[in-house]
Amino acid sequence: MEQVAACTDVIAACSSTLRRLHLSCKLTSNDAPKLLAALAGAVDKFEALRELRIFSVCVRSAENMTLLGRVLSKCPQLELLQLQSCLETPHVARLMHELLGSATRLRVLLLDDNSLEDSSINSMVPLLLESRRIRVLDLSMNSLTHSAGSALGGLLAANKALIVGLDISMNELDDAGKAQADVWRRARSLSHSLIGCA
Amino acid sequence: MCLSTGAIGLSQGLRSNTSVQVLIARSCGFCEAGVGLLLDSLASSYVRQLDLSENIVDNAALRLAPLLQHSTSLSELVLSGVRLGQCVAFRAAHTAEQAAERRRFVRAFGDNTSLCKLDVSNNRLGNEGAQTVAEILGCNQTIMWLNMSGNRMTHTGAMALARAVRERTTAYSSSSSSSSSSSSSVVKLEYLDLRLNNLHAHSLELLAILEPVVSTLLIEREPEFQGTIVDGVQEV
Repeated sequence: MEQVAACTDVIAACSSTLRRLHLSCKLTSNDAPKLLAALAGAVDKFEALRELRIFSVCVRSAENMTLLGRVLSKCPQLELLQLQSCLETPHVARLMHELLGSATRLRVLLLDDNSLEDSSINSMVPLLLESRRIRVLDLSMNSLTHSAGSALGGLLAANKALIVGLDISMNELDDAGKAQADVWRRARSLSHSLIGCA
Repeated sequence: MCLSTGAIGLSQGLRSNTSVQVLIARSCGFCEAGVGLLLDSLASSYVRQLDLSENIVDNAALRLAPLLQHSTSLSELVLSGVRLGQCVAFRAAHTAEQAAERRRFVRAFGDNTSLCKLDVSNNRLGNEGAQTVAEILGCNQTIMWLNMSGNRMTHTGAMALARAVRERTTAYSSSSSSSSSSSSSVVKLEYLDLRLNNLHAHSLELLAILEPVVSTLLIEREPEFQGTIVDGVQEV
């Protein structure tokens, strides 16, 4: 609760020249609406916002997603958006649809550590192809598998999307090498411990 | 047999792509076949930074050769924890074919003129692998940052590296003092990480060779060493 109050105070104190806003709050789905409501109430201050990073604010309900969509639709200058540990699959497509429709200057989209599944990527790729706007895409630390790998292949093919930077780390795009890599990592870690003891 | 379904889709997209400059695909579960497909698809790309760490690379590393030979943009290659020690290019050659593979691999690094940063840490390269990296340093002119930590290297491998670094610095001094504006001048190695190897007993000897020629050297200290220590690491 204290965190929410502190964040809403900060948002209330922002001026309309605000360029960068980073919110790291670790809010549950119960507390997140208060923060999102505070953001939605201050949207007239986000005209000049270039960079918005939100960490660990649970935006997983449809209502929360609507609030976030409302905020993002009022950030016409937004160039970088990071939503780390905020989302999950069901409502991402709708959010992306609103986002790519309104934030015409958005170039960097960082969606790391969100438990996103393949269906998110499958629905996101056509939007990215249509908008041809996103240059840097971070999808690391999600729950993507080979199906998302194929969808991303489609995004990269024919250069329609003009993606310059792509991070797909820490997903299980192929499970074939996963078990081998885990065994190797454990053995190496043990080996380093032994060197440390020597 | 690895099917590499994720890598197949991704590599098909990358094959015709000319926009991707940074590809970070750490710990994606790619196996040797999958990594091979990805590297084949990147052979004529404009990728500047490539990170395939914590996947299974093994002999697929040999398929880096076309990318290295053709690319004028690749500046950072990160292959940490990918079992390079299993690749024939990093092992002693027992057949003429293996020796030829190893020569081709090393030559590919020699042909490249853009690579600045090479991370081959945590690969159990051993002394044989260190010898390959020493040969790479001997023929490549642009690498200035090298991470060799966690490779089970002992004095033999480290000395091969140290000699290669010293010779490279001599070549750098010669090329920089030369008045000719040759485009093939050697770049000095600025950063070398040798931590997490079996070098404790020889760290002073290595320091004596490397300290004058490498700006930042990371190596485990010897217990009786009296130099400046930062968190157990000697920073020169």
